[in-house]
Amino acid sequence: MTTETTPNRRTHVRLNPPDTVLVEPIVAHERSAFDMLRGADSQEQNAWLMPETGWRLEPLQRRASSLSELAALSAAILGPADLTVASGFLQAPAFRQEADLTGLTYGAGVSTSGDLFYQKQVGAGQSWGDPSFVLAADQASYPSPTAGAENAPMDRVAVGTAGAGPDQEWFLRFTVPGGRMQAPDHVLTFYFTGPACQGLGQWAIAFGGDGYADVFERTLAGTWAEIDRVVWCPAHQVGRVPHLVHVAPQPLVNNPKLSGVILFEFTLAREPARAAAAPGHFVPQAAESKQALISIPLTGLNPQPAPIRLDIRRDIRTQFQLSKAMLPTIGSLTDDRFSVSFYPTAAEPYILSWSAAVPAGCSVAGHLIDAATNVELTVTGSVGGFPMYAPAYPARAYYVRFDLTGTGWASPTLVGYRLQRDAVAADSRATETALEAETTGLAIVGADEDPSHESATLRVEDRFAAIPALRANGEYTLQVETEYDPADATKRAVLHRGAVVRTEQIHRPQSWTTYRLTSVGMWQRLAEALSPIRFNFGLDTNATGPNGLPLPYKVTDALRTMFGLAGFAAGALDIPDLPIRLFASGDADGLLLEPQASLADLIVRYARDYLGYLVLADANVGARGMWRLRPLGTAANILATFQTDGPGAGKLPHALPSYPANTAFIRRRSYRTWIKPPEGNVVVAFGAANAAAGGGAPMLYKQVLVNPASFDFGGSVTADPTSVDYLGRVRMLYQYLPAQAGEAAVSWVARRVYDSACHGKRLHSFQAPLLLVDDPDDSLLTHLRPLRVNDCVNIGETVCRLRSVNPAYMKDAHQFAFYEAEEL
Amino acid sequence: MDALNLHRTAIQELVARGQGERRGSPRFLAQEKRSILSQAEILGLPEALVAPIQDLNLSSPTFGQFAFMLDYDPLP
Repeated sequence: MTTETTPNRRTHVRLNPPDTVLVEPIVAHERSAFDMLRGADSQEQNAWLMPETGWRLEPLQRRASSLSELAALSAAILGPADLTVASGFLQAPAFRQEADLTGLTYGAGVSTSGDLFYQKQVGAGQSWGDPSFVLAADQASYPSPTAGAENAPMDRVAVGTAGAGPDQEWFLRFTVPGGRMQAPDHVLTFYFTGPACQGLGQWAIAFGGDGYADVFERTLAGTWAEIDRVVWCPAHQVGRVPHLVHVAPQPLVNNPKLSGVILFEFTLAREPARAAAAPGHFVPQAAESKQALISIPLTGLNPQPAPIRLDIRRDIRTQFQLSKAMLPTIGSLTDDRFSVSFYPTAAEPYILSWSAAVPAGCSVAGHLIDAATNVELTVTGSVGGFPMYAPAYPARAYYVRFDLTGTGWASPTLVGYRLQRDAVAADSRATETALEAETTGLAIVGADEDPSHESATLRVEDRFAAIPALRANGEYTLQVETEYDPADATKRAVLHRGAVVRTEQIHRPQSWTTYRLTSVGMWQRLAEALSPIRFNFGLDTNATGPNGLPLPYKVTDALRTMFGLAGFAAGALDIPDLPIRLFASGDADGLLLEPQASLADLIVRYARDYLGYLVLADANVGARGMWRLRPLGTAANILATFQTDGPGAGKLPHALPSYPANTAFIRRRSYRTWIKPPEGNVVVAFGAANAAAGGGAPMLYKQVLVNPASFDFGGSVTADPTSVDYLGRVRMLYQYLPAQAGEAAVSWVARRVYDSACHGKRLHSFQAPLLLVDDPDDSLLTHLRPLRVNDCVNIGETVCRLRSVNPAYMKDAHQFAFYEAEEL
Repeated sequence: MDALNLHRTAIQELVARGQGERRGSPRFLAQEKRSILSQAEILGLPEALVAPIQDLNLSSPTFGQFAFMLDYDPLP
């Protein structure tokens, strides 16, 4: 008959057990289009940065001289094949080579004649409203946005022969005859297709003679809605001068806020100014260019392409020309030099990836170039179409070059790029040392809901100065195990795995040395990792919702990503695939992981707040432990029973084998219970939604939940003074949503906070033998393990969930632990 | 003095929890480091009334209970 409480147990303390350690951190360098080409060493060729969009091949027409004189551009100007123009408008080319001038030779690319304009030609006695000046049928079927609010009729004078895509750029050139003092209400209206904002994606810009232009979108009902008003020209400079207008609608890629933009560029060719220094002389003035940008919120609406159209006020003989954007077929970008924040070796390749919209026939090719040699690094392969490069230690300064290829009519759009290299892990080279008989006491604080609380303290006696390892370093890996099966010494339950961060050497004169080791759990490895880059969890490019919009990340995918950024490979993780996604309706600014943000903090927060799951560093699964995501335990999986009763007659009450399997006694006088009051009894959750999430306008969402058992609610007697939830008075809890989100998210968060904070809890604490259990719900577990946080147990007849398990003992024969639990 | 400090700390914790800040409480959604709007700006927005998810009709037999919430409540 044994006198031991926990027979067959034997503790093993291992210093520097086999371990995987991080030797090269993750390396990442990220640039958005708007951060590129800002330094003196950067350069571009045939490319321009379109606002809110990205780098694109630059339309040749952005220089009016190209449009006017180059033969190649004649293909861009819309003629009879592309445009149906009212018959009363005559073609009037504006350029011809001056062949009669002697001593003048034009360049090879200059056209002999061209630069086609149209202009209304009114015959003597002819009506200005003659049918030959109006495409009346088209105007009847597709009314003008200014109809009913015009000082003089606006006539439909031209319509395209085919529908225009929502990304088709246009250049409009026109002159407005008349004096400077004239300010007609409208002079010209241009219709085009762009991204859908609130309607069909059919747009019109109506230029006024006062320098303002009204921008309309055609609604789903076929009416026109004014979206914006922009300044297109200084007042009193509309007349008598030529205007060049660039209309550039663009759907956007990888922008969680916007579905598209419409850029207008207005170039006003100013007349020469009188020279102050030389009276009687005139000085040419540089053209003045203005930009106006309309940002279109993310919506699920699809544009319905329509032909371009043109309206001109009946009494103005505007000379006009329309051309579609013509682009060079090649361009390049050479970005600024940079250095990565480590010295990478060839153990892991670089991956240069980029985000770009690439229409058919277009391409983007990126190159990683060594800044010292100006030679591209050796390409070792590709992943997902992106090149992989071999780092050449110790080089770490580079720059990136992009080659843009277009079709002449379409351009790729480069939104940004990232250079990334995964972390490198290796086996630790530290020599393992076993502390067997030398360990005379240990106290472990197990993880609770916050895994950072895990720690251990050991007392080690070094009688023969035989443990030099304890004097060599300040930090080493520690694993505490216990045997439990006399037939198989390899079966061991891991009680603690972590890192000794403080080794106190207690010196005694003429005696042996005593060490006091303080170890922190594996949390330390995670906590010391910071995010190397900005990461946007608001946009999962691989998933779209029912409305066709990109969804935010799944919570579990975000967790895997953050563990990866911290250097933990997939083999060290046990994270299920759950469908719940982060809150980010229509905007993701609140879900940006900033550089050097704490990954550990966010991991625990996302798991707890969104999923109600716990993050555990589980040393009992896998060869070297794993990070696991586990759901809250339920009464359906009771792993052990603790009782205050003895085992019955004829059995030793202090011996664990006297009790049924997975059952232990509670040590006399150690048992405590108390009630933890609710943290509040009313939850008010606030959420701010942007225009997209708020159905067109920024909105406030609010959800209020109450616990009527805690206080008298609604002027009635609802409280139960005998309830653990009872406070007797209102205690408010306010919760603001972390990101812009919709109605459902606000309700969800309110419920989560309510469930966790608006109920009182009955808590139990006691000391009992250290139970080792099997968990049939855990497929990764191959041996017994100690109980831990989140395990469900019976305490007497009461089902409880453990909040922490803290082993503390000095002899293997009597392995005990302190337990704390809350009633379910 | 220690008791006074303890009391002050407890009050600070209580206020922090009420405001939804983390400060030692592992149970709350914490504010993200980067927030779109300040709390005052959020409260200044026009409000879209949210459908209640709790039955607060005092005469209802299901008074105090919550409506089923997908991905939150276990399937019946």
